[in-house]
Amino acid sequence: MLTVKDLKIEFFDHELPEVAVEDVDFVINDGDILGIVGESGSGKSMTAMAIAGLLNRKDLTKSGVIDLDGTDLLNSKRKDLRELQGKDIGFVFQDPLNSMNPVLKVGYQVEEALRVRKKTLNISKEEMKKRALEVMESVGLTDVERIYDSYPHEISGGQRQRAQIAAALIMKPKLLICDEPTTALDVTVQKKIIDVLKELNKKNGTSILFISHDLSVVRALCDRVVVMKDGLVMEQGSVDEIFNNPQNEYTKQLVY
Amino acid sequence: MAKYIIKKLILLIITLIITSFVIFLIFELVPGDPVLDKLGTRATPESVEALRIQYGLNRPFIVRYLSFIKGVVTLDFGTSYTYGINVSTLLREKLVINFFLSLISIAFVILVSIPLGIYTAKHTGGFLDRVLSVLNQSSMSIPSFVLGLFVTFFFGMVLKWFRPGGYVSYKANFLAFIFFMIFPALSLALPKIAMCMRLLKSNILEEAGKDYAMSAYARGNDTTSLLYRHVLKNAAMPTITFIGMIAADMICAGIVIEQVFSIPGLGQMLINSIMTRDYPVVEAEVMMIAVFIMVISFITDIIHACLDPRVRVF
Repeated sequence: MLTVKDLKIEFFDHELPEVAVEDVDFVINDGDILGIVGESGSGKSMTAMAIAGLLNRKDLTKSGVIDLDGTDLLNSKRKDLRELQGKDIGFVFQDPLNSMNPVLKVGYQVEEALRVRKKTLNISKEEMKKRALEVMESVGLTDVERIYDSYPHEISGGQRQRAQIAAALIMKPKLLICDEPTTALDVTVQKKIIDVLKELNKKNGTSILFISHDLSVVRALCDRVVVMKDGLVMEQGSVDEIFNNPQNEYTKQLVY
Repeated sequence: MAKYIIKKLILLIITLIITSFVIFLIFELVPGDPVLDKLGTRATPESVEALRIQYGLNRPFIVRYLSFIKGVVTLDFGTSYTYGINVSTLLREKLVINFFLSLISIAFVILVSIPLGIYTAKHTGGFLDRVLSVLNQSSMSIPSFVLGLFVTFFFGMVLKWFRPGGYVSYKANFLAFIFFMIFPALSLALPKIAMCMRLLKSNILEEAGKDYAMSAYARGNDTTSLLYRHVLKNAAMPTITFIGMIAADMICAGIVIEQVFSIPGLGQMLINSIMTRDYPVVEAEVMMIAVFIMVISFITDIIHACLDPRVRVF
């Protein structure tokens, strides 16, 4: 469903252009969970942002192909991208505290993807709330009524991350992109979030692109893995191949 | 929320008590004697003693302080040494003048800087943004009394929109009074507008770069809805604090601008009454300014709490 081909992203904020990502190729099939691992600066987040259409800055250029079921995400107009953002692609960020607006209630943010399409969807306030509560329950939140009316600082980190995932899922997107969603959480909560993602993948068939530097998390969750370093893809393959029989020197270092 | 307001109110009262004590104490400590000042060379020990009793200066410090507090509460500050009339009556007119001066000035700041701040944040690097940032720099670096001279010259003498020095009492003609006040208020407001605009713009840009703005984009928001639904509420907070500070400062800045526009406001009287050691007037005036500033910061706190749920906790 998602094909990334020859992706190249260059920055121009310094005098010389700086290549952030180059020659990135991978495919995510329907219902697949793909992990991208790499250290910070490897370009993994940049790749994720490019897929989600969040790289609209003037100081960089992008080339290559990012194709989601026939739509070219890289060269689409912003207006067309917005249609897809939140509807076909959900995005979960690393730090659940910073990625939620501190002055808006959790429920408001969970519903947001619906609200920005209120006119075209012709959806009532009650209906939005009902859908929000449903999706919040589906990601394992309990006491959803209270959380719906809480502010982000009033709930725990794990609850915030679940709420974020709920916000990303409310339109039942084809692809969920998680950019280090478990890094800011402690280990027990990490495991629960991983379980939520796994179940979601199994139940709804949502494809997931999972970005992480944590190999054990990737191993537990993903079907396929892409290893990145310095903006280049080092190796890719199934979890089995990468973890049990790595070919690339860098991958070997990572795994052993 | 109610709890927060009550907490702040109690705090406000405590600060007022402390401030009133400090104000009273300071005028107790400064050198000079109102009685000797008033009697001058004609002073005899008997007349000094008589006047001291008349002013109540023979009473112990704490008794006088308590009667001052009683005055603050009942808005009766006694009689002016110099003018011999009730201080409250004396101050009422001045307070009205400075109140409107500050009010119009703050209105200018809010009405101009907020839309411009939002606009320049949205169109950073655009034509208007570049023009305004140059204008901002210059208006920030010129003190408001100099701007006052410029405003007098430009609006008063070139455009002839108002008569320089032609202050109209609000009792005589309220509309003419307000119209005249626009010009000093503008001089007061100009540097603040520049600062406020810059602050709002930089705060909007800062907030728009935060993670939550990115995740709002990822949910399909466009720039406009991101700005109004997400960023503005966060970005407005420092600006509101700043406007509160400006409002407090306006009263003091007004003291200088009054001179430029020949307005018989608080400032003129404050200077005169300090020179003549007219303590009832000075104390009442300083106390009024202090109350005004504290009430404004109280209002700012409440607005903050309305906007930011995190503030309400404390």
